Amino acid sequence: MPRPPVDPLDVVLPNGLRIVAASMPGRATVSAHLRWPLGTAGDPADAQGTAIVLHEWLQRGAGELEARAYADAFDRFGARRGGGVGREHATLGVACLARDAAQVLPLMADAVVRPRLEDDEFEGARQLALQGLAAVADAPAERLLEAAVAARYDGEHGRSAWGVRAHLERLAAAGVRAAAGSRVAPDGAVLALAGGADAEALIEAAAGAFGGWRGRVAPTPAPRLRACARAHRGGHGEQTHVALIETAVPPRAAGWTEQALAMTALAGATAARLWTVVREDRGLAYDVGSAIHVVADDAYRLTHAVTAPERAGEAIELLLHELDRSRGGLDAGELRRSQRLLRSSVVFDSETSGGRAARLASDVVRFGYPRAVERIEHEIEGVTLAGVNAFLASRPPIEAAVVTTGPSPAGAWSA
Amino acid sequence: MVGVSASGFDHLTLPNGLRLLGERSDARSVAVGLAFDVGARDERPEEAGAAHFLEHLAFKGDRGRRADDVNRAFDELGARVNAYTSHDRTLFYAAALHDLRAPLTTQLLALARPALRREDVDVERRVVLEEIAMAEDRAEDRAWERAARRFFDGHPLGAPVLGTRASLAALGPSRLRRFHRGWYRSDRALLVVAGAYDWGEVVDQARAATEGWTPGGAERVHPAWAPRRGAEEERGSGFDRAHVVWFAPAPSAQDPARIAAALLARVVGDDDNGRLFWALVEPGLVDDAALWFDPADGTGSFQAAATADDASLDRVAETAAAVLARLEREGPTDDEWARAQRALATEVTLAAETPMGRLAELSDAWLDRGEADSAAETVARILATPPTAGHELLEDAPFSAGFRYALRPDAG
Repeated sequence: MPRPPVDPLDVVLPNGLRIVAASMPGRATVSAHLRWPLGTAGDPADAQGTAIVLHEWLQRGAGELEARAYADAFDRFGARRGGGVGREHATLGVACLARDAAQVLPLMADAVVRPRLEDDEFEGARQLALQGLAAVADAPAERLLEAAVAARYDGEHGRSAWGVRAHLERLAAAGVRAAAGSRVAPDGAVLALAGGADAEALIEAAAGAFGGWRGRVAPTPAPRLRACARAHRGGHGEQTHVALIETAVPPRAAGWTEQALAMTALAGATAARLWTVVREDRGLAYDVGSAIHVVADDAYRLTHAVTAPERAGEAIELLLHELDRSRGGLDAGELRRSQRLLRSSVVFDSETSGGRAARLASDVVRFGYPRAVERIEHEIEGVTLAGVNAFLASRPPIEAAVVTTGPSPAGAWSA
Repeated sequence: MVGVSASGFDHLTLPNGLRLLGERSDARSVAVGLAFDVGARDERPEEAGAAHFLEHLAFKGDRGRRADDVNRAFDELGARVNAYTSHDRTLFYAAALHDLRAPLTTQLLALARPALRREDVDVERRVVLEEIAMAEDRAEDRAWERAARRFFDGHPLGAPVLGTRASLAALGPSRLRRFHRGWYRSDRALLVVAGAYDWGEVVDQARAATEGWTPGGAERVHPAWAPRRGAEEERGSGFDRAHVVWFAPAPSAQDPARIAAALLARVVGDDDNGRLFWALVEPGLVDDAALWFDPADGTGSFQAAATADDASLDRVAETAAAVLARLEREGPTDDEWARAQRALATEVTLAAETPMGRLAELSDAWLDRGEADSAAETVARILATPPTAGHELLEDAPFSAGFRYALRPDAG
């Protein structure tokens, strides 16, 4: 039975926290997703990795509960926690049974509203950040992403998302605690709630839990683009990882939905162009793909493939050719399939309370407002063939930064 | 022959032996899975990697259709489609919105009859070789594979699912066809649907699409086996960290103690509040430590993995051994057990929010045990499993009989 679109509720608390909520009738769970501007791009130049240590430290005891009791308190409700830190923002997430949401939300809030930040817990948090950084060396996919970001941005946004070893080694509790005042604050934060509970009741519970959060956050510097055409980071391994990075249309600009449909035809469909030419026709790579990344007001397309060094040059040429060819437009069948795929994907991702909450938060950050699922479907279905092809024709010729990691490609693209 | 079980499942067995199972829910999507009771454990040495290779080749087209036709047909439905191969099982799965679902079942069943054209086999072999190279480049995958081979010591559960470069080179169309003929039979298959399906439509399509399928064929063997114990390590190059993996014997997928095993694994190995977390992750010795229960057909295992600085490896190993020894000695506390029960119950509930999230659980239950529970019934079983069930499992001292393997970076 089709229901008319019900827009998610959207309120801003007096402390600046934005709360959005969507009710999902029939769901047994509720998920909460908190996102705020605590990222490594905002770390002091000589203390890179502070955000990672702070994010971990926040979760090691809050309110009246020391670290272990705090973790046990979530477990008593069977609540599952998640979260992480990126260059721009940090997240904390929780999923629990709908009936427990009013008791779990205050526990979640305590991590940011009443963190204990005890000296005893600092060293473990710092060591864990060092372990995370060390683990990147043995993670080829993460190494490529690091190199790609460094090729795209100068300064703060081009840094490692894992911090700098020397900086992490000398971080001290007092300095990180002092940073918490300006980096764990409600203005600029978004809390998204979704699941089998009344949206107004969820907002009321969250407002009670997060209403006491105080502070003003220091702004993260805007990303600065870098002119880079070719970069290579060597490393051991059998395979060369290839990334092509170029400017894309950001979420609030005209053409965002057209771009999403073109990306589906390029890389999101089972019969996607990249998949077909790289994998099905030539067996060049097991892992090939392309996605849009959004960083503040900037967006870029990252296209990647993983292959043997002697075939990496062929892969680069092929990817460049396909990216350029996409400016020639889609045919009617490709658009129809892309519309169906994108619409299905939005619905699938919104079937879980966790997926719905994450999309609500990302909507607010990217577009400034949360969207009903039906509204997103409508936007997708509203794109015409003429519209998507006019968009693609207006795109500039491909000027991609070519980044490789691992063994150098053989031949013309040799590092 | 259309029947509905006490639990509210639709189910039916066709005359050719194909089993059909459906669980309806109030969703906007329909998910369909086609599971075959065949996996890497069923391969002879010269067939190593065949089940996984066949899973790839299923998408290369059947008679009269090429890869692009197959892929495009799924795209026309807006379907999300994929497949995986484990030691026990091969599962093809797809989901589509209810209004586009109509031919989904037919299309999924067509994957089971690949043409296996030589040119497709040759191109796809290169893709699988890249997949093998990728796993080789991830030291944690390499460590896990080597640990499994040693722990399962001659048992087929220790064979790598992807096969090896050498075995792949020897897998041509005729050998693949022989393996396919032996194992991809109607009575080794289960078609499972979840969400907003139309049962009559599913049954009609299954009948039509599997008209030529026949039962019989090969039978899985369960060789006698003694798990390897103790600790081994090797040095290797191409990575910086020490990767350590633990295995220990555990109940099988058919064993009623499997729920207690899953709860016990969570007590010790929950990745943000288990005993290993507090002993290893909280002090920052490793960046991640989890222990889980892997129930396989006829035999199961507890498995754990962690990555550490090479210099800390001995401390990590000793700390983990002390955690496991104490668990065997004292058992879980009632409070730990209750927390594990609730955490597992929430995870089952979360997974059941999408039709796609039910396919693996339903197909495993039906193929391993010939029964299935709704998510609510699974939650009830979890909550009804007393801590004494955990203590009983520990009477056999499974972790004392465990095996540890470490892959360490070359010195210097």
